[in-house]
Amino acid sequence: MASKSKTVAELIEVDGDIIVNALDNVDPSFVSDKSNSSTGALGLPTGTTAQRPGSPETGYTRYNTTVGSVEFYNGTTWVATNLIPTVDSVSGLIVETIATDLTLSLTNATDTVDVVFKESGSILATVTDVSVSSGSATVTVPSAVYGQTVGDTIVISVNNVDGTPSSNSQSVTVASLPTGGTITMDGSTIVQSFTSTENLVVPSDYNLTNVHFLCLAGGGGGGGHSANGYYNDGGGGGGAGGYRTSYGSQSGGNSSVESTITISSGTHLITVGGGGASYGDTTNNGRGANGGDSSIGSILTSLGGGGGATGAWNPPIGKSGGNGGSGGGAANGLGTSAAGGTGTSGQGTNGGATDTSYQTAGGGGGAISTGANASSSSGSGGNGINTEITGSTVIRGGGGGGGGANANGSQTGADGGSGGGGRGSDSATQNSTAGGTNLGGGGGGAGGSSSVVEKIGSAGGSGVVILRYTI
Amino acid sequence: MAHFAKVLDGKVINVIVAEPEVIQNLVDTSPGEYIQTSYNTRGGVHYDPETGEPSADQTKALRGNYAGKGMVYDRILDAFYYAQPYDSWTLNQSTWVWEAPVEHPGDGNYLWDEENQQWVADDSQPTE
Repeated sequence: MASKSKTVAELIEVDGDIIVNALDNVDPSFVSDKSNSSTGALGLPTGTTAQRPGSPETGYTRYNTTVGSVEFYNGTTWVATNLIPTVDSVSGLIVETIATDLTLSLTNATDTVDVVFKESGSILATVTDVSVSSGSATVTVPSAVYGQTVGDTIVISVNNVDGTPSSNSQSVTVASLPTGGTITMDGSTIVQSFTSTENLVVPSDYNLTNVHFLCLAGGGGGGGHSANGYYNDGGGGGGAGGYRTSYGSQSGGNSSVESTITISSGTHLITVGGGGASYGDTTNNGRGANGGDSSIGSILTSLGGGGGATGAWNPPIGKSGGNGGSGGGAANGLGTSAAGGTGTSGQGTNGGATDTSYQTAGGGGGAISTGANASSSSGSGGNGINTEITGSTVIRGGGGGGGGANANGSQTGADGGSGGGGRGSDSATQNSTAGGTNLGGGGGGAGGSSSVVEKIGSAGGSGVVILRYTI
Repeated sequence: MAHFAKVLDGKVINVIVAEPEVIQNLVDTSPGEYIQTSYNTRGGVHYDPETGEPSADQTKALRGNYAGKGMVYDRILDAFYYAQPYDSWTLNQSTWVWEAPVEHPGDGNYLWDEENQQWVADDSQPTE
C-alpha cells in the first residue's frame, strides 16, 4: 500500500491556508472515525431546493432552506430528516366580516401547528398552537383575514411545532355575506332578520345549509261593527299570523318544530305579510281582513291570521271568525252560536266561539293557544310562542282580544294574547289596540255600541322572517 | 314602513310590508303586480296612527281603503274596496263603500231584499 503521509509544507501554504487538493486521497478514517469534542456546530451546505446539486451522490447531506430541514440523498431522492407537513385541503369559507371556521386536512403534521394566512406574499395573521387530530385541524379565521376585501385570495399554510413549514399551501377566496334584511351575530351564528319584504341574495360561492327559520305572517284585523243592525255586539279579535319555525321546541298550533332548510345560492324573495285591516263599513259588515302571508322564497309560506268577525247582525260573510294561520274570533252570539275561525295545522290555533246568551265576542287564536270563547265576558286572544331565534327572548304570534259588548255581557274589552295581540275595545270608553308590529299579532275587536254607528277594531300587526345559520 | 297589495286580475291576493325603493327590484316570478296601499286610510280618510283621529293632512289618504286580501283594486278609479254586494248598490267614491239605493231605516235589524229593492225588518233578534 502506498504511503499517504504528507509533510506540513505539502498541506499548508505560507499564509496558513490549506493547499487546494492537498487533502485528496486522505484516508477517510482520518476524518470520519474521529471523536469531535467541540461544543459548536458542524456547518452543512445550505441552499434552497432549486440549489440542490445537479448530480448528487448517495449520502450527500445539506440543509434545505425551502423546506426547513436537513436532507440527504438516498441514491434516488432527497429525504428530509424533519417531518414536512402538507396541507391537503381546506374546507369552509372565509366570509367578509365574520369569524368562520376552516378545517385543514394535513399530512405529516405535529400535534399542534401554526396556521399562517398570507395575501400577496405578506403574512396577514398566524394562529398558533392549533390542535391536530387525525390529520385534521380546525381554525377560526382571524379578523385580519376576514376583514379583507371580497374576492381577495388568501393563501393558507402551516408550520409544524418545530417550525418546519408545509411544503405547499391552499388558497381560499374571501366570499361575501348573503344580503337582504338585517344581519346580526349570536356568537358565531348569523341571524338575518327581515321586517319587510326584500330579496335574499346568497352568493354563488356557497349554499346556506341547516338554516333555522321563523316565518311569521301578518295578524288578522279585529272585527268591526257595522251600522246595519245589531249594534251591541263586540267584534271578534283577529287571529295571529301563521307561525312556522324550525327553532326551539314548538311551532305554531302546538306542533313540533319543522326541519331546517337549505337555501341555494341565488336570489330568493322573502315576503313579509302586512297586518290585516279592520273595517266598519256596511259592505263587509266589518269583518277584519286576513293578514298578509309571509314566505321564504318558494320554500315555505305562512298564512295570514284570520280576521275577527263583525259585531253586526247578519253580516253577509257570517258571524264566524275568518280562517287563517290562526283563526279570528267569532261575534254576535246572542241567540245564535258562531265558531271561531279555524287555524291552519302547524301554524296556529282556532279563534274563540260565541256564547248564545251574550253579545260578547271571541278572542283570536294565538300561535300556541286558542282564542278564549266568549262568555259573560269577551274572550282573550290566544298566546304566542316564546323563541330565542335571534339570541334574545321574544314572544310572537298573540291573538287579538274580543271587543266588549254594550249589553248582555261585560263592556270590557278582552286582552290580547302574549306576543303582540291587540286588546279589544271597551264598548264605550277605550279604543282597541293594533297587533304588534313584526309580531304577527291579531288586532283587537271593536266594542259594541249604544247606537247605530260604524265602528272599527284595530288592524293586525305585520309579520317577520328570521333566518339563523352558520357558514 | 310602506304597505303594498299584490294584485292579480283586479283582486288583492296578498298585502305585504316593503320599502318603496325596493319594490321594483323584488325578484318575484309569481303573477300579479304591487300597488301601494295605506295602512291608515279607511273610507277615503287618512287617520293619524297615534290618535286614531282623521289626520290634518288628508293628502296622505291613498286609494280609498287599506287593502285587504279579497278586496277589489279598481284601476280606473285607483282605489281598493270590497266587491259589490248587490247589483243595485252603487259605490260612493268619497267613502268607498257600497250604498243601497234605499236609505237604511236606522235602528233595528234589516236585511236587503234585492228583488224588491227594499230593506226588510228582521225581528228574530234583539234590536238594541
